[in-house]
Amino acid sequence: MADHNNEAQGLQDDNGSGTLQLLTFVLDDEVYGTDINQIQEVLEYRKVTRVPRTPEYLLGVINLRGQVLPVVDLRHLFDMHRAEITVNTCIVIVDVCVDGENVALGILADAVREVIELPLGDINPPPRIGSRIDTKFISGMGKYHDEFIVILNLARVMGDEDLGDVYEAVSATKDLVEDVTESE
Amino acid sequence: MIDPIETFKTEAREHLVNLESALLELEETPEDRDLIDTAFRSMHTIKGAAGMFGYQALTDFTHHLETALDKVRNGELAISKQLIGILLDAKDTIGESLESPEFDSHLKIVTNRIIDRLYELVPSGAQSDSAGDNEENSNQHSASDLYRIIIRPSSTTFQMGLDIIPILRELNGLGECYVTTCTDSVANIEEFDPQLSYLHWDIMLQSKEPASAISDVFMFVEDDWDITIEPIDLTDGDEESDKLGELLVSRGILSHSQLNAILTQKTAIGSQITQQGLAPESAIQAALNEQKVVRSLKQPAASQDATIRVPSSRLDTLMNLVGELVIVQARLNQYAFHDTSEELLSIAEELDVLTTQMRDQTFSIRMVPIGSTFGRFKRLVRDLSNELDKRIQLETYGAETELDKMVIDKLSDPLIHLIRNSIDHGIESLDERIAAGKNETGTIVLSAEHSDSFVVIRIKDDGAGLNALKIRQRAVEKGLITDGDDLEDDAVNNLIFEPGFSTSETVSDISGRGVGMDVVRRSIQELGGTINIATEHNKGTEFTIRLPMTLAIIEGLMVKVGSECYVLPLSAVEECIELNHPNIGSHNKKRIVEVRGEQVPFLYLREWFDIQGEPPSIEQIVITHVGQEQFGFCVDEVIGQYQTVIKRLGKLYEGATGFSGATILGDGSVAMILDPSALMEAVGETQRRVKRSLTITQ
Repeated sequence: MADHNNEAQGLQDDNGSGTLQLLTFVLDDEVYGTDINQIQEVLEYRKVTRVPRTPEYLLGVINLRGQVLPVVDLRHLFDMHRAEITVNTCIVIVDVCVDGENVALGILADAVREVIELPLGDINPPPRIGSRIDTKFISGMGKYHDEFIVILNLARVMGDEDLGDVYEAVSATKDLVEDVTESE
Repeated sequence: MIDPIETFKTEAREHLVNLESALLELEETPEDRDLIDTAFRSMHTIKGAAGMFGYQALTDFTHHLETALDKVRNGELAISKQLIGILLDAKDTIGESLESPEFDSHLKIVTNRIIDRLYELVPSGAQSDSAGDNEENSNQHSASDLYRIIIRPSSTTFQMGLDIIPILRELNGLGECYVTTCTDSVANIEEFDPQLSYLHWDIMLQSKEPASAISDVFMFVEDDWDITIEPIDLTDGDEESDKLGELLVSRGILSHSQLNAILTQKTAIGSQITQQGLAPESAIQAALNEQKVVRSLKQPAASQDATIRVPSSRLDTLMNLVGELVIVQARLNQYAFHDTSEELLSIAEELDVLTTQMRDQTFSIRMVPIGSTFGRFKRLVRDLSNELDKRIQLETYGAETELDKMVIDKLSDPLIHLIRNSIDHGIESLDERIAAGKNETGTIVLSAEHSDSFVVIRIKDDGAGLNALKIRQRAVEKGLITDGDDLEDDAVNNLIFEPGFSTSETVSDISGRGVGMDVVRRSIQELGGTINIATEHNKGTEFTIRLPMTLAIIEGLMVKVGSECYVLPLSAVEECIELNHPNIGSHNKKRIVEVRGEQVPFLYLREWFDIQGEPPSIEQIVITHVGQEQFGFCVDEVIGQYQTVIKRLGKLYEGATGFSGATILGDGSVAMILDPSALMEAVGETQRRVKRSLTITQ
């Protein structure tokens, strides 16, 4: 828990004032927020080129003005079911520090809401139970116009060690399982 | 504007590199004058530049070193291992001090110690400093001098049986010789006496010989011939001095007042002078010759400065812009091709030629010979072999092989690591080598060469070779494999690239931490390259690194599977064939196609990439070669050649195998670039795994 407090402290220093600016977006009917300083821009959904034989939460890559950026499907990471692409679907480009390296990546969101400002004092630590996603990915919980906002710690999400291991498992087991069953 | 202090530092670093390589070679060939001079000059330049910037401490320090080198030059001091060692340490210290040329207390202590060590070797104090400067000056001048020689044989010379030809021949032997024959004093045909000589010669001689050698040529004739030999000063720096008018004046053909009168008129001076009968045409011709030679000699001095220093960030920007340009070009080509306008198509084609040239030029700017890093390895080998008490020599080949600057920068760490490994683990100790009947001195060969669009770098030692048994044991200990695993030798050798692997019993300063080889492999893979090992017991180990020549743009072959486009590197593609009998049972993982009697395995991309949809009735197989082996890729459709700008996939896709990156297509979408060798390996790996698990399930 001390970690999260430090996080909030850091954000406060960045802002100077005691408030936190968040961009809110929707995932599976729930509102999530992420620090506005991390956001590069918001794009309309465009075709994502899949990189074969990679974990499913990595949707693929897109071309952003000549840069090739990966797009992550948080729904998949948070064990939500996959949604259809609608006109509201957006790709939020964020800068995240992964293992000490700044990485730009896209996050698929069902819809992007707005930029809000929350007083830091109103942000509560993540609940121990009752949250749909793993609390280690959550910086805190905010409340805005009677709506709960889950403030994500994207660096934690992307830098999660479990993600790295997914790779080998994906590429190795898939064929293995197929082949073994086939040959039997 | 580049900070002059930065320039000083960069240049000083370059001089240090020269100094180091000269010192290292001097250790082998202590008598080489050129190397001594190089070392001295580098030190001298650093001293001078440091003085100019007011770095007193650095100037003083280098002064002592320069003095020592000067003594070496004058033969007062012999080159010894200790001396080279001191000078190398000094070189390192200078390198360190460049960060803060005003010495801090640490540097003061270190430099003092080095100077003390130096004077233990050097007989007397620093006295001969000014001599060094003088000698250098005189050296510069003796390089190659230009002489103006005018020969006027006496008119009776033929009657005396003297011939001009041998003399001209002899002059030619002294150096570059430019001869003008002056015929202006030839008499009218009525008065012409065939027995008399009417000619004279005007000769420009560029020679390294002293003036006395030239006058020796005329030893037998000088009494009755009229001969003048004048040296021409090339260093007067006077811009006017090589103008025709001035040349004629200095040759005594014209007077200054005549010249000035002529110069007020505007036409070509040569024809003016002849027209006015001031000088015969041949005299002017001779002067023009001199002009040509003088100018050509002055030129090289200037053209040496024709290289410019550019911050590499600007080159990167240029490179990126060219990359963007190539993408837009591809888009234009696509559009023009489908458009009906002939005009547009021809413009697109013309532009395409230009873009390609521009791309190639931009690349060539970034290409640097790999030899620039070799110097560092020589030092490494020297220091480590001394430390470990082994005798090792490093042989390098192919230093001129060019590679992208960025690749070279990123390559040097892995290479250092491999060479360290060869020194530490590869080459045996002195006793072991003698016991094995080998040459006491171990050899490490570092070579680089071009092959197709790859650069192949080999590091080969004649040491003990990898010990497969030891590697196996270790791998089992570390849990990398299980005891029962049946691995081929190659697979065992490749285990050393696994993270956390090390067979060295003790962790030394040099290697043996087990963090090395997996890092080496990863950095080489990041560069889009591969690394292989070949080893033979008691004969040695050879690492082969294959790297693409550039990281930015390649020629590709675009193919389509389902709705997705993929790009294969064209350099690896051999041919495309149709797949005749597509209904090979899907259970049969080992797919083989016969190409002119050769059995070539191929990969069904649709299945491997898990692409949905029905394949077309006729499919294509692109045959590629990976090293010596052939390997096919079955695709729906071959689209054609495509200039491919490689974009890295980034951190999140680090674990994705089989791709060397992504590229952006004309319509803005992204296509993956396939890496044939990685795909082939991945397929092989899966097959092996399947085999293993099958034996378990049975």
